Parts: sequence; structure tokens; C-alpha cells
Amino acid sequence: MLSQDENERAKIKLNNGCLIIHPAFNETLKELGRKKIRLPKEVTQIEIDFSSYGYPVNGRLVSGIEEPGKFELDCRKGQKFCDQNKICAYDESINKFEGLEGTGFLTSHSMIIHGDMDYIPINLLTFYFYTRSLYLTKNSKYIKFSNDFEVDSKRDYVSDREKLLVENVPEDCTIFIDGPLIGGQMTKYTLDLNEALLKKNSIPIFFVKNSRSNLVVDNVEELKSKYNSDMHWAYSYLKPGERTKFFRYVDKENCNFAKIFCYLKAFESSPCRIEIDINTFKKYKDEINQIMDLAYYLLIAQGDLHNPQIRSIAIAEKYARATLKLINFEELIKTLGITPTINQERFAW
Amino acid sequence: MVKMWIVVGEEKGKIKLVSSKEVNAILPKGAFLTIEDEERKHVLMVTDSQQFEPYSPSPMLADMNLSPLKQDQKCQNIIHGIRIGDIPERTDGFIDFIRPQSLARRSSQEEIDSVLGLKNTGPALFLATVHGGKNQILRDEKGNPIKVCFPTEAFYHQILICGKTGSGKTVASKYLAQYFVEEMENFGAVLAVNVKDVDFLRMDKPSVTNNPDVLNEWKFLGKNASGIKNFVVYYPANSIIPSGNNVNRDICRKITLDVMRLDPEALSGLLLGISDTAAQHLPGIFRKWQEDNRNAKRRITFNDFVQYFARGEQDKYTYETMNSRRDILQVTLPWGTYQNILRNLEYAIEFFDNEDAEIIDAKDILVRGKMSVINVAGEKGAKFGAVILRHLLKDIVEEKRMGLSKVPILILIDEVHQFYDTNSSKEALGELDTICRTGRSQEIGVIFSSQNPSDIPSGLANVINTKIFFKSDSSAAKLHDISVSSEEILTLRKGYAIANIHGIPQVRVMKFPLAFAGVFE
Repeated sequence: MLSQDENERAKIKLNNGCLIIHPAFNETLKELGRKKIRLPKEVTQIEIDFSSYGYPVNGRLVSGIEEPGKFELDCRKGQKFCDQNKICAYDESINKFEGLEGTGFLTSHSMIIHGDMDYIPINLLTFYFYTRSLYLTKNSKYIKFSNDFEVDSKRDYVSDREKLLVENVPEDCTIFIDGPLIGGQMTKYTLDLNEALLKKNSIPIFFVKNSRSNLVVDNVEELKSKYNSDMHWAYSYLKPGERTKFFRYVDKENCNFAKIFCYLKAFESSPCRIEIDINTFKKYKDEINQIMDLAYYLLIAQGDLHNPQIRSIAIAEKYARATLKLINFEELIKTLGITPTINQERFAW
Repeated sequence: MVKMWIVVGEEKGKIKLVSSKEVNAILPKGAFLTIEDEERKHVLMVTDSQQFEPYSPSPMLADMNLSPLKQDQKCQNIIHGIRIGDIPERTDGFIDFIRPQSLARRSSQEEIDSVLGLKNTGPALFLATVHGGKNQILRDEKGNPIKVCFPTEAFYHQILICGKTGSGKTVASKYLAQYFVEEMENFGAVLAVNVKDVDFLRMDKPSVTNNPDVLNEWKFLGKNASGIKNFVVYYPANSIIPSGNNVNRDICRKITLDVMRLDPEALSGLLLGISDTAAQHLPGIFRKWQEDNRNAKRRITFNDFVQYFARGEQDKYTYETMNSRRDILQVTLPWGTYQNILRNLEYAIEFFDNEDAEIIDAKDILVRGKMSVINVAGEKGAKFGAVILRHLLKDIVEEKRMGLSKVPILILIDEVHQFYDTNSSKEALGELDTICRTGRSQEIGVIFSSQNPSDIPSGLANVINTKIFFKSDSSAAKLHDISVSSEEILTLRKGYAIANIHGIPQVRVMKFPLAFAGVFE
């Protein structure tokens, strides 16, 4: 599997789904072996912390997309929409290897499509290694120089995500993507992804949990100083099965950085935020309410009262984690001589 | 599309597999799977099979009366199986890996025959399964039933068939009996003891059924209903075959016992229920009396013996006895024993010396292709049966031991406790014990059939090597070391059985085809 031509993505058919190994996957590992770079045995499973990406301070909130108030969601309409439309979802799972020479990221990008009788998974597996050592990156095509691997790894992450989704999302579908539309360094890439999906007549819906954002409570006069965060306000304001009206956010400097969002409370627990690109909202204005019903239906389908999640995203996450297990990475790096022996660990410096 | 299962790996000595998406049901326990690699085929038998929901959906949707996501309803079949054999077997002393991700499919008849080492001779049974309260015949990928031939050697290692009324034990006995007389190589002889109704009395007639499943099974086996051609019913001269039960009178023959030809040990059949050990002297007393009257000028009858025995009162219940070594001894019976024996002898007078009846012996039974049934149903039948069965068994063993007959014989004894005390010792079982222990060399087989396996004489339990349980209490099966759950054995449908068959221990659940003769549905 790992010796296929680097110019081609290896595809392993898995029950009509597919696992794609990134072309640089093999070579990066081989290069680590050649340069005797060791990876630690301890692996950290990480989540991309979207909550740290607040809105840019120069943004502004414009209300008035809808009448003030809150809206009751109809899960039966959501169920109907689900039955009649193509639904997709995306999530990822990442293993981080922090070693002396640098940091490796093994990422499983996972997209699922609601098939006729099953979820069809399409997964992309990538491995990147970042280091601040020019010596190690010298003459290396695959080991990446990086002064800030956190930034660079995220850039690679969003770039790979975009490729996977744009190439594989079917036309005319609704796709739920875990994470925000607008969020720090990833915003441009995410907006590019959104645009590309729109060209395929697909509807990208961004789903955010655990946000510490306070865009609404800081900008709506009557809410100021009353709540800790937007989530706090939404939790107090909404009953289960309701959503807030849509708000519009626009970046003052770059009006392309804009989005429509609302908060949705499925259960008597923390609400979630749904973000939609403005162009998406305009193009699919008539379907948006049904999509909110769909989101509510899929939250109920997942049925996790303590950690509400869109069912389809949860399934994508399952596949992402399963794919990481499918590749016996530890065995692989051992084969390539990357895992340090005990003596090397003790006397390496 | 061929249904496939994917090998996950090994867990606690069993191979774990998961179904591919083409599989939309659970493969039941007992089914066989074949995994092919480059060099060999590996055949597994399914020991555990269950449903697995990979997406573990929340019950919340159903709770809210919402339709579920159909994708969430996906189920997979998780299987654990044990390796039964490889084709061809590896000969270098190693055992092949069964590699993860290998694909398995349902085994073909040929593959199962190969790994079980089955010969294509013997009465055909269908491999079956009891799973989730459902009984069904196992099928190959083409939908054909998987059959297994009951090894003919197993006939001579003694068979126990148990089951409640209507569970199929008598039908199974008939099926095996018909094979023995009509299909076995060189044809054997069958002696059956009919203890109730007309169970075994109509085996000359083809079975009658409209059950499409039965007809399909027969069609698959290439068989049709057919009666046994050489079939005779023997019945005690002091009884009648009840009219109106569709028994063919032309094949029924009255029999009686000849007091002078009767094996003395057979007389102990009259003493069932008499626990007094002194009563066991009766055969010796009888042997001595026989010897004394061997050259009598007049016709000697059983009544003469009863009178002789009754006169013992004058001798203070003291009798001369002769043992099998012809040693002459003396025995004094307690008064109570004397009374008991006398009562039983008087009761049995009518079994003997009936002038219009035949006297049968081993030669009448040991006829190739012949099924003989002794009807002992009805009043006094059991006592007669207990005597004549002992007499015939002794005669058959003698005939075989002397090399006078090479005809294989199968003896069917229904409700054996009516003829031998349940607590009979090895010695008390006499020839029956000899048969069970030497049946293989003499080609004598016995099928014990009973509703309650605890009725089987304790002395026999260890020599019965094939145990077949139709619907019964699970405790009954466990008594005979059959591993079975209560759910499995209680949900067995008619004709389905859980068994431990000599020579094919891997076969556990089976379905007997309906007998071709003597069953009227």
C-alpha cells in the first residue's frame, strides 16, 4: 500500500468508500528514516481548538437578517429533508508526534456521504513533519521547515481538507463541516472551500461547539454585560428545539470575510452555533430553514445530551479515528527505523 | 453476489469475522465458512454469531416517533468460528495462519465432506442450526441444503435417541432402520420392539405427506416414499393386532415361547420390579428343571414348570439350580420371593406353548433386507417383550459368535426401561451389555429410544457412543454430556435434533428427513 507511485494517490476501496493516502505520506516517512529522525513513542491525539479563534476585533455585527426573536425547529421537516436530499459531513482526527527534531502530524481527514443504506466514507491520510532545523530540511523535499509549526500545520490541514472535499463532495448536497467558517488563519482557506463547494451547487454548513465567542452579547445593546458569552446567552434564551434569529457578521477591513450565524439549542445543554457563508445564504435562502430543521433532526439522531453533535459529523469522526487505527503507524515507523531504541533514547545526547 | 465475511483476527482461539456489506442477515451457529488463500482452503465452523450495529444509533429518534436514519440501521454479522480443517492438510507439522482481511464464504458440500472426513455412505441427514429460536437447514451458497451422512460404523457403537412425544424420535428410528435394511452395503436386518400404538407396525407402507418442505428434502436426496418390502410383524399369541388401524394382517404372525428352547436367562425378564436378589436364582432353577425334562416322553409346557415351582412349598422353598457351567447347587427362597415369582410365572403361562403360533429365533431375524417388528404394545406386552427380547438377543449373539450368520443387525428398543430395570447392573443386562460392548466386531447395533434418558439402564450409559436429542428438557441432554442451552433444546422443531454422533463430533445440530416408510402426516 505504501509503495505506490508518489505521483498517484493510492486508493483502497473499502465497501464503496475509499481511503486515500497522500502522495507525500510514504516519502516523508522514508526521509525521516534516512535522516535518522526519531519520533516519540508517545502520541497525542489532538483536536483543532476552534474556540481559540475569536472573531477579528475589527469585525462588526449587523443584525436584521430576520425578525427579532427565536424560532421553533421542526425535526419532522428535518427528517423529510434528510430523506430527500444528499447529505455529507466532514471531520478530522489528528495524532501529533512531538520529538526533539520537530513535530509530526498524522491527520485523517474524513468525509462521509449518506448512502442508500449506509454511510460511505472517503478518508484522506496525511503525514507532515515540521522542524526549525535548516540542517534537517536541507536537500529534503518532504521534511518541512517551519518557524511556527502550529500555523503551518493548520495551513496544510485546511489545504488538504479543501482538496478532499472539493474533489469528492457530490453536487447538490448539503455538507456539514465541523469547525467555524471564519476563524483565524484558516478563514481564507475556508472561504475558498466554501466557494468551491458552492460551485458544485452544494451547501456548506459550518458547525461549531464549545465556542467562547461573545460577538452577540458584546454588540447587542440590551445583552451587554449580562452574559459571559454568546453560548451563555443562547442557553438562557432558547428552549430545546429552538434557534436564535440569524445574525450577520462582516469584517470591517475585508467585507469578503462575512458570515451568517445563529445559535441552536437541541437539548437542555450547551447550544451550538451554525455558520453559513453570506453567498451560500443568499443562494439557498429558501432552503435555510429546512436545513436548520435538518440540523436539529441530526442532533437528535446523534442523541448525545451532554455533547450535542450533528449525527453525520459524528460518523465522519468515527471513520477518522478508525482510519488512524487502520494504519499501523507505530509498526510502520518501526519498520522504517524511526522509532528510537532504548539505548538511543538514553545516550542520544 | 457471493456473501462474504472478512477475517478480523483471532480471539481466544477462535477466528473472528465480520460480514461484508452483501450480507444482510446473521449466519447461524453451526454453519461452515471457507477461507481460501494461495495454498489452501481453511474451513471454519461458526460457534458464535451475532448482530452488531456499527453506528450505535441513539434510541432518541424512535422515542420521539421520528423515522431513523436508514444508514444508522446498518447491521453487521460478527462471527466467531473454530477451524475444522484445511484442504489439503499441511504436512510439515505447522498450522497455517488465517490472515486478517482474508475473505470467507459459505462452504460447499464437498469442502464440508472433506474436512469432516465423511464418506458418501450412510443415511443422509441435513446439517442444521438452532439460532434465535429458529430451526433451519444449513445451505451452501447456491441454496442447496448441506447434508451429512450418518456413518454406518456408528450403528455398531450404539445409539440413544431421546425426545418428547411428537418430537421426531420414532420417525428418526424408522429412517435409520429403513436405511439399514434397504440401502446399507450387503443389506442388514432390523429387529424392532413396538411398545405403543402402531408406531412400527406399518413400515411396509410408503409414508404419506403433503408437506412441501419434506417433499423438497426427499427430492434433494433423490428419494420417494417407499415401504419396506420384507417386513414382518410378530405378536404374542395371547394378544391381537387391533383392527381398524391400517396394519396389514397378511404380514402379521403370531408367536409363542417354547419352554424347552427358552434361554433360562430370558426368564429373568419376568422378574422386572422384583428387587430381591434371591429372585435372580430363577434362571438357575429353570435351567435345572429344563435339564431334568429334556428327554421327557410327553410334551412339556410352561405350565409344567409353574406347577414344579409351586410344589417348592412342600420342600420348604428349596430348589436345585444349575448355573451356566452346569454346576448343580441348591437354593432356598424366602417365602415372599417364592410368592412373587410364582405370581409372575402364573401371569406368563399364556405366553408359552400356543399351538397355533410360531416359535421364532435368531434365524428368523437375521435375514438380509428384513425388518422384523415384535409388537408388545398392550396389556402384558412388556413382560412378554422382556422375555422374548432376552431370548432373541441371546440367540442372536450366539449365532453371530459361532459365525453362523454374517448379517448385520440393528435392534431398536423403544422405552428400554420396560424391558430392563433402569438400575440394572451390567450383569443383570446380560446379553444386552455384551451386544453393546462387542457390537462393532459382531456388527450388532442397538438404538435405544426413550422420552426420558434417565430411563436408560445405568449399566448402558457408558457404552452408548451416539446420542441424539430431539426436543427434550435440557437437563436430559446434559445428563449425557451434550452441550446445549435450554433455549436451543426447547425450541427444536419436529425432526431437528442436537447430537453427538460417533465419528463426526463436529456435527451438532441436524435435521432428519422424514422416514420414507411408515409415517402418515
